[in-house]
Amino acid sequence: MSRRRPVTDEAVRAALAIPLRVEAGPDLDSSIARAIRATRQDRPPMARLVGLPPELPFPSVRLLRIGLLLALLLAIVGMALLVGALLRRPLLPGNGAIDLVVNDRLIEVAPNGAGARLILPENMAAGGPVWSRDGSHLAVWVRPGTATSGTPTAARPSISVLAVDGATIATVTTEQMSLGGRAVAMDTGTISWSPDGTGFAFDGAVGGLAHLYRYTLATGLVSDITPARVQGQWPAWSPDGRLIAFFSPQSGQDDRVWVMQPDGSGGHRVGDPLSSGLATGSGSWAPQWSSDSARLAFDASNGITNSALYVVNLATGRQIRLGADLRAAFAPVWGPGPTDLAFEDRNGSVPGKIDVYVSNPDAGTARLLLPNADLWGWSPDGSSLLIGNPSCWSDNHGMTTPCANGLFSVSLDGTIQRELVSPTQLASLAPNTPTTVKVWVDAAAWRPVRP
Amino acid sequence: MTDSGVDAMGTVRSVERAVIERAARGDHLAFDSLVAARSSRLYRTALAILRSEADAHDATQDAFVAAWQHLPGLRNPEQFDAWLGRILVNTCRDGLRRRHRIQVREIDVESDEGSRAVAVRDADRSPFASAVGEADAIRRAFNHLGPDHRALLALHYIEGRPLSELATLLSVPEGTIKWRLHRARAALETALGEEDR
Repeated sequence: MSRRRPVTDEAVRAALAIPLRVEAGPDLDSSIARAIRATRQDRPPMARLVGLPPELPFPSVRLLRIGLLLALLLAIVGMALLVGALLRRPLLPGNGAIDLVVNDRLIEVAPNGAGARLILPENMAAGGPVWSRDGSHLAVWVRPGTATSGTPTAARPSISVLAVDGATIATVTTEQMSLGGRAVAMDTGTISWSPDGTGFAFDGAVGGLAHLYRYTLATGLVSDITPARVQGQWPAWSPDGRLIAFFSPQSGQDDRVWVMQPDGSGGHRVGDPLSSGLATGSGSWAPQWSSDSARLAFDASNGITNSALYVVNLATGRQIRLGADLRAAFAPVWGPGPTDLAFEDRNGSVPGKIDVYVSNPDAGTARLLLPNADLWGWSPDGSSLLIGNPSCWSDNHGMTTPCANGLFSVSLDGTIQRELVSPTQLASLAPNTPTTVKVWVDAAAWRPVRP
Repeated sequence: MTDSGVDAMGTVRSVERAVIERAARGDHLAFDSLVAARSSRLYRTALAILRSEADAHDATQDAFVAAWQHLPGLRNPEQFDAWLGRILVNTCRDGLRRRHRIQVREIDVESDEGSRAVAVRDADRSPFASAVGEADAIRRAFNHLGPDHRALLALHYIEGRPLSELATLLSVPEGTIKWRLHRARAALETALGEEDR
C-alpha cells in the first residue's frame, strides 16, 4: 500500500524552483519567428465562409458577423411573415377582361378599358354574366331580342357557356330543364359556379315555384337540387365547394338564409330569424360567401324602402347586422380577404340614387366610399372595386329617367378612380332608344386570370 | 489620469490591444513583439512543468505558433495573455503525455539509465540524506506525477500564481482548482513516499 510522506510548501518550492539564471536561449524568439512565418493563420469560420481576405481588419469581421446574424434573423422573420400571410390569404388571381351588360348587350373590355366589343349577336339579350373561378368560362343568361329592339321579354331564356374568346361551348335550354315533363319558366336569376369550374348552380321556376338546379359542364346534364318541401332561389356555391347557400321564399314565418350540400341534401336554415317585416330574396342579390367559406352576408328588405344587411358565421351561428344606422343597406359583395366586404345603400346621399360602402364586418365598421354610384363587384386581385358612375339605379328600376353611366375602377380608399369605359363608348355599342333612355351598366363580371 | 480620461495603464493596454489586433490581421512584426515580451516568462513556466530545457523550448515555440494560428479567432484581445497561458499549459500537458508514452516504451530497469535511477534512489534512502537529497527526492517524485498534477503544482508553487488566477487560466471554478491542487499535493506526497521505499 502506498504511503504518503508529508512535505512542506517551502520544501516543494525550493525543490522545484527554476534558478534565475535559467532563461530562454536567444534562439527561441528567432525560431518562433521562423515558425510563424511558415504557418498560415486561421480565419474565423464566418470570414472563411464569406471568403474574406486575411488582411481584412479583425473588428470588421466581427461587425460583419453581427451584420450577417442580424440579416439572417431579419430574413427568418420576413419569411415567417410571408408564409403566414400566404397561409392566411391564398394567392390572388390577376385581373382579366371585364364583361358587362348595358341595355341587354354583353360587352367585353380589356382590364384597362381598351377594345370594347359586343360578345353576343345584336339580336340576343344578355343578363347576369358570371366567370368561373379559374377564369376559363363565362356563363350568361341569354334570350332572343334586346331591350332596345323592344322584343317581348316573354321569350324563354337559356344559359350560354362561353369560352374566353367568346365562342359558345354549351347552352342550357328550357327544354333541358323540363324535368318531370313540366316546362320550366326560367328566372333570369343567379348563376353560381362550383369552385372547381366543373359546373354551376342556378335558379328557375316550375309552376310558379322557385327551384334550384345544378348543371354539369362535362355531361350537359341538369338536375333539380331543390330540397324537399321548400322552394329555393339565389344559389351561391361556397368557395370551398362544400355547401350551396340560398333563399327560400316560402319560409315566411321563419325567414332565414339556407345552406345545403351541393347535391341538394342536408338543407337547413342558419343564423337568426329576421326582423319583423323583412324578407330574404326580395332584393336583387344572392347570399354572398366570404372567401374562407366561414361566413355568409345577405340582405333582406321589406320590398319597399327599408332593407338590412346581415353577416352570419356558420361555425357559431352568430348573426350580426351591418350598417345598422343605414336604412336601406343591401347588395353585399365579399372581396378576396375574409374581412373585405362592400355593399350599397339605397337611401343614398342623392335622392333615389345609391351610395357605395366598404366595411370590415369583424370591426363592425362601414365607410362611405362613393356617393351616387353602383357597385358591381371586386377586382379579382382585390385591389379595387368595379363601379358604375354615376348611379343609374332607381327604386322602380324603370328606364324612364334619362341616365348614362360609365364603368370605373375605384381603389379601396376611393382616391384612384379610373374610367374604364365611358358612357359615350357604351352608347355606341348599346344605343338607347326613346323607350330606353338609359345607358346603364346593369351587370359586370371581372375575369380572374391565373397569377 | 489624463484629461482624456485614459490613465497610463489604460494607454498601455490600448497600445497592447492595437498590437494584438495587428497580429491578428497577419502582421508578423507585431506578433514578434508580443513574443519578445512574453517568451522568457512562458519558457520558465514550461520549464517548471516539464523540467526539461529542450522540452520547454519546444513547448514554448509550439504554444506561440498555435497562438499565431488561432489569433484571428480570439474574440477579446484583452484576454490574450490568459488565452496564451492556457495554450502553453495545454501544450505542456500534451508534451508530458507524449513523453510518458515514450518513457513507458523505452525505460528498462536493466539499462544503464535504469541502473542510474536505482542507484540515485538508494542514495536518497540513506538516513544521512541531506537537504539536497530531499530536494532531489521531491523533484523525482514530481517527475512521476501526471501532466495535470505537474502543471498545477508548477503554476502554483513555482510560478506563484494564486488560486483565482489559476481558475481563470484553466477556465474552471476556484473551488475546483483548490480541490485539484489538494489532489496534486497528495499525489506528490504519495510519490515521495514511494521514493522512500
